[in-house]
Amino acid sequence: MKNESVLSNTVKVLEGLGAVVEEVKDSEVYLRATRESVRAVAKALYSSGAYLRTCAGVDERELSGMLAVYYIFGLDEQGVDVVLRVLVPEGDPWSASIVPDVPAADWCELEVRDLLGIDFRGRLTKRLVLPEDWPDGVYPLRKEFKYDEKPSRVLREELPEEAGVPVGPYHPALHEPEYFELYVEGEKVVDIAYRGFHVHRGIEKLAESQRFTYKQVPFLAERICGICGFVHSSCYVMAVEKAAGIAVPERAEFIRSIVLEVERLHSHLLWLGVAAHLLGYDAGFMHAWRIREQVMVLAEYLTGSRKTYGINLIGGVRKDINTEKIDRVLKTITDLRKEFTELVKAMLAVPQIKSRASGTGVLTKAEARALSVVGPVARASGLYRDVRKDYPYLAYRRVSFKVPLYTEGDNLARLLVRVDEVFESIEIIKQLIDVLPDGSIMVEEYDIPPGRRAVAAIEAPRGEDVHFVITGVGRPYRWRVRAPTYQNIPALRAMLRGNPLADAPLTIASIDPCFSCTDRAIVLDVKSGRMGVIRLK
Amino acid sequence: MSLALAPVYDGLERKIRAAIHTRIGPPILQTWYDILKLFTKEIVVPVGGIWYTLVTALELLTLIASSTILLHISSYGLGKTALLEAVTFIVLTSIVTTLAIVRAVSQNNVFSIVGGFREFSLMLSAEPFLALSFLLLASGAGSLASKSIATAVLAISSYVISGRVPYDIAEAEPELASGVNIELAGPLLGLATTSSVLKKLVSATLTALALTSFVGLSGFSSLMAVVIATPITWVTHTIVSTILGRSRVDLAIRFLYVSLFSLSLTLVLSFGLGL
Amino acid sequence: MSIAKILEIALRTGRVTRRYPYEPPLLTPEFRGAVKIDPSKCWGCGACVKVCPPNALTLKPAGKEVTLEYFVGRCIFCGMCAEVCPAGAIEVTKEFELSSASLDDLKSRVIHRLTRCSICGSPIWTEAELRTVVKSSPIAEEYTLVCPKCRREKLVKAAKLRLGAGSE
Repeated sequence: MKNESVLSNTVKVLEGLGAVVEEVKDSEVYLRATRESVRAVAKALYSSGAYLRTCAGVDERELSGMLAVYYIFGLDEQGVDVVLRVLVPEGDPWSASIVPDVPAADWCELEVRDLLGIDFRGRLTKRLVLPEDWPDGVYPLRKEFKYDEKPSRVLREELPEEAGVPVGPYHPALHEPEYFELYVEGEKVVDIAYRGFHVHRGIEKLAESQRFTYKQVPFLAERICGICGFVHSSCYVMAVEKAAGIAVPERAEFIRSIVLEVERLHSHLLWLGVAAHLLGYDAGFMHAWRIREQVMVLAEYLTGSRKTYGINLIGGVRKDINTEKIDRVLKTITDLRKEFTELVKAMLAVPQIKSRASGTGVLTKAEARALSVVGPVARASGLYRDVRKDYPYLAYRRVSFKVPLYTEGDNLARLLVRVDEVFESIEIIKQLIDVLPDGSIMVEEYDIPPGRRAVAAIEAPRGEDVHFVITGVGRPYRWRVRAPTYQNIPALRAMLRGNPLADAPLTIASIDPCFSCTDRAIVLDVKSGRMGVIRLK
Repeated sequence: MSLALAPVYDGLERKIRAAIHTRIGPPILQTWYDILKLFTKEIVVPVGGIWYTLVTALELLTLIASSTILLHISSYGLGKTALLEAVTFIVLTSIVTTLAIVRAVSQNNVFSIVGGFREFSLMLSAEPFLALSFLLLASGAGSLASKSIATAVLAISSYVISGRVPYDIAEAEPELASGVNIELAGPLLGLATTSSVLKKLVSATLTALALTSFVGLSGFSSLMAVVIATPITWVTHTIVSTILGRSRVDLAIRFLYVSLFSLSLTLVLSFGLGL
Repeated sequence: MSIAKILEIALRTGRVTRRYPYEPPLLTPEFRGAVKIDPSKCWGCGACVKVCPPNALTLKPAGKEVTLEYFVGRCIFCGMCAEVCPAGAIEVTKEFELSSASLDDLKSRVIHRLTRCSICGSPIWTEAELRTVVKSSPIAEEYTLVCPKCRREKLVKAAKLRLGAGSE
């Protein structure tokens, strides 16, 4: 832990406000707060420089007899997670909301309310994650709800037709179903309404069910996202390994890091192509994806599959890297760097790209801080946040790299951050290969005692991905995934307001939305008998 | 005959664009296949019923008429055109644009309406200059210098009406989900696609005509020159559209007004000063 | 001018797309496709079933037989089954062109006969498992054809007799 004294001062302040220290681990501090005092504690924590990472609701009735809300904060400077645990009795399930002081907690509190039935006082609430026709009083994350249970639909009153330009749920600009309603005056967007969670697949609940075991969940986690799947599977295994105290061999950590950086390369190239396409510059799209193809082939050569690599297991990795593979990696990234430099130069020379991307979709630093945005979105608005630097994990302690920072906060800044990150990734991979240690890639035996908890985070191409695990018997007791896009979408409101309609697709795409990642918390798809026309906006 | 050639040129465009994208691309006759396929689908008519169908068909017919006149003009040579013919061409082209906008705005679809307005603003910033430069060139008057400026104005404004990147704003797929054409399907879309391909032909022919008129041919050789120069201008248009991105409607209008207006002003001044 | 650089890049690169399926697809040697189960080697032990994340491999008992069914439609091509198979019966192929108009084409089955307990008649293990176990360690036949429960009862009975509890 860096700066231990700063941390212990902060903890003292929090204790003064009524928090009680439960557990202190290597880089995590668990505090318990009462549901009345949690707002003050969170406010103090937030103003001391912590960012909100996520909050998770847990049905702890089997463990402590109550429902619980965990607020996970991150002190970037110290590299420590501070977790506030609030216990809530089942018979009277409410807690004070921290949103008035920490706006970043908006969505995750609503999600807890939808899925666990804990009410949050002191804020406006609405249904966020569950569909409109879901019955009241049925809370999917509670243990009595079976993962494959399908409650019958409830017809509600027809909601009024709203005027506005609909962007979604099916729209050529979006690759996954989302729904933005843009309220326009002429060509100017004056407000937006967002409705997501159309592809909620119930992954968190699934991992808790009898159907899955610890060993199988990494494969499930990999399919949370088709672009950053490896990030999710790595983060999950890291969280479990942290909770159970499993020491992963160094070589495995290096292999994970190499594959993570390879994934970052492919993701940024994909995004660059998509951004070019949205701006009408299809040549940029085709060339970016042509370059990306080399990365995909490399990934297949390293792991056996172009995507959904399937090499992560608890305790290590399944596939090793030999000298042939290392040579191939080096060749690919050297060619990549040359081609990528050319492409970026050609792209930025196109006048329309420069003129449409600069000055549009601005997110100020203050807004970014209030919403705890992550990844390139944060770094383009002047927030120096990168999980690889702040909470070093895997092999990142052994390499040195720069974190690109821009202050304009517009679409062009977000583009340039990602371009710079590609170059940095190439450097990181080179360094990792250089110091790759020998040894085994998998721990022989391990034990996962139940009742342990851990927070793990990885810098995905889109930003910080946080996994929170409470171990159970044979499978996780609770697994919370907070993907980076989840944290970034609320910032879209600030970015789209007051800007021309024509910039909307580019702005939405500039946060690199990965809606599969965002909508993954609880049981989905009520396919039982339709009773009438249900207006799903 | 131009009706038959235009989709082939469009197919060639797609092949060239694919080559710049390092792809193989569709076969050259693909545009024909697409149009024919659309005509085999069931007829789906959006809001407006038979009236809408008539407008769409009328748009195509007017475009055919306008391109025919253009070819007729080519057989004379641009400088020796009768004023009536030149004006007829301009009027017909404007009718085509108006019909397209009316069609778009008549729909009960936000994307279509927004697309229609964008088309309107875009046309307003290109067509007057197109008309001005075309009429001046058709009159045959003016020095080499003023003719060159007029050709430049004509080339830019005819590119704008061709509906290509950076000015395909009205049907921008990522933003407006095909904007003005969103309500079209089946044979109606076939009609609209043919119209857009013909528009590209008119645009390429206009520029080809203006350029070949410098050589001072007339009669059959003038027509031949235009017929040969048209695919060359078409290919140039293709390359330009592939290396540029899509503009935004306000940026596009600003750019066009600034460039075309100043050029036209120079043109008019030079004319008035008898240069 | 650099805006036309893209033309130069394109000229230099040529065409990168392939006329698949008229040309073979691009696969690296590491590629994981569908798996193939060798019925002659399979024991029917169910280790692959336990480890398969999407339940593409299932063990379905039916009377005297138990069927190991592999449903390609659910397979995620992770290759974990091949890794854990103690018999080495599962091979990861490079097949990925798997679509078919009939669902049954996507299912392959290995049917094992079950040996039954000579006393109570309940199924114990597959004949293949039995053969393998007998081959690796010699066991008296009376044990191999008796289920663990009955074996326990037999042992208890024998022990009681030996300790002189007399007949029941």
